[in-house]
Amino acid sequence: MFKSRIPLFRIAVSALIALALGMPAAAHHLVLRFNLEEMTATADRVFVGRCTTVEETREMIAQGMMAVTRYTFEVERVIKGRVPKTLTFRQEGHRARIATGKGKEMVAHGRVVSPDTFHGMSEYEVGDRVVLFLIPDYLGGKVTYPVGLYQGAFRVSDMPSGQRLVRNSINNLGLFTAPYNGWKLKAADAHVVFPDRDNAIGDVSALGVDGAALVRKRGSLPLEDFLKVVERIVAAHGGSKGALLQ
Amino acid sequence: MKKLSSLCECVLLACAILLPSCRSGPSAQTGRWVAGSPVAEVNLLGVDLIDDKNGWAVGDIGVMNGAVLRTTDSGKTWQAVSKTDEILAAVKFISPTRGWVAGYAGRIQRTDDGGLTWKVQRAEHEGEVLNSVFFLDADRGWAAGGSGLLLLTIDGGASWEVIPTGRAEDFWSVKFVTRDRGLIAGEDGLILATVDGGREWAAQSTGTTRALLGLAAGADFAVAVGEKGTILRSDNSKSWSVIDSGTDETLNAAGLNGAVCWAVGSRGATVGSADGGRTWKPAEATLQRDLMSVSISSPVRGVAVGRRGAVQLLSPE
Repeated sequence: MFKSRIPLFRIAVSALIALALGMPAAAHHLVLRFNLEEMTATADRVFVGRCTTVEETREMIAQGMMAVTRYTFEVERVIKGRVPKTLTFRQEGHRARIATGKGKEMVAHGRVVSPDTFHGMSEYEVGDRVVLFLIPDYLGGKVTYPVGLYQGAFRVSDMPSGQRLVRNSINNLGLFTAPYNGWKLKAADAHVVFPDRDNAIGDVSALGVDGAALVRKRGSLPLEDFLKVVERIVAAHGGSKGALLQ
Repeated sequence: MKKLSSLCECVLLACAILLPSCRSGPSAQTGRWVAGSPVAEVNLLGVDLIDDKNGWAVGDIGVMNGAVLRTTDSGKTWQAVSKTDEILAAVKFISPTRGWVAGYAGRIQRTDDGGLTWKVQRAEHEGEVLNSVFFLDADRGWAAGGSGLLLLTIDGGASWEVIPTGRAEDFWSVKFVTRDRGLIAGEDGLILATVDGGREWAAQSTGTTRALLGLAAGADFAVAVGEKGTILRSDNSKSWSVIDSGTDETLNAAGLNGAVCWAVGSRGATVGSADGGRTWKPAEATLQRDLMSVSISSPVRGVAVGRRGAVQLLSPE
């Protein structure tokens, strides 16, 4: 009985999440855009960590067997929330294979579509170092995903000069310029990011951050400056400093 | 008295020659930038003019979708000629009909009808970001993007080969001046040069770790521009000199036509050179919005585009 309900259930859940995120299924870039302040406010955990294991499995979630991918991260630094040093979380769906163009594959955006995949969900490989902005667990506290799907997952890159840079898969577009959409914050609640102003960031000079340079830089941003601004946002909204639980 | 008169004449003549170059911008012969009408609220990321009249612009997407825009009047007006559901960062045309776009999904598309319809040549690769696409002719092209991603085609884009670069830096701009000689500019002060059409690349010494976001290359020289007003110039693609740009704003893009070069960037920053990139001067600011891309079709014609549909036009004085 369960078997026949699973695909419908999964589709329904996925559709609900997609609708909530403003994401038409056919276009993964058409997701509600989050600026950094609203992204931080929407996440209940923000941390830097390195992916250590990836496991695709099925678990009983909300009265149905659901395809999930379990990711384990060694957490190095917590900016928001209380996060254990070794964190395992689940995201809906298995990772989508890259389409080969051969055989009868149903393909969307270069990936093979199946009932077990969740298009647009951020994916990580073992060894990836990322800054993750995770939404509160849902479906009975069993699954989560980064804010704005791929938007809230920032890869950390080590440059030859020693610089550490971060960017998400849309080149950090809109981090300081996307208007507040009211998902978690309204423009009137803003303390740090002001998309409508000429200078889209509040005064962060006390943090040793050149705010003007930060908001005007395309693409990757310096990791430390980025994290300082996120910490400032957390504090500005009355949040306590993130805690790494041993 | 006659000597004094001759001296005055000389002084006046010198003033007549020198004064125009004292004005903002490189010189009177390079045209003047004026603010164009904003296209829309959407961020524009790429622009390409193939002549003084015809060009295309691409960029971010709105709530429902985005568009490829076309101008036939030097950038004064723009028409949406086709829709897109992908963030497009780069556009390159080689004729009024044939061009390519690339964007933040690793997808490359080609048009053979001026942008009305597009054929996907390289399927979407989730997580891949393409920042730049360049074609020398109908066959040979390159696309460059995040985390050292470089693609090469020799059949007009029908097939794309991934060229291993071994680089972690994001590539921001790829340009070729011949089938063999090309350059890439990227994060962390990176400039790569090739002399074999893009199969082997050698990192050049730049002396900076600032991101190099724009690149313009001519037959005799090349300039790379980037964070905090950085401008580097080279005569041989190997040794690069820091040039005073006259601005601290981030420069996002550069374009050239002959010896005339322009670079544009944050808060409408626009700096120009009329001597092959040796000396630069800021132009009068026409708008405060960040400019992300520039295309120069002649010494007195060009278009720059940017955030919230910003358009800036280079026009003859």
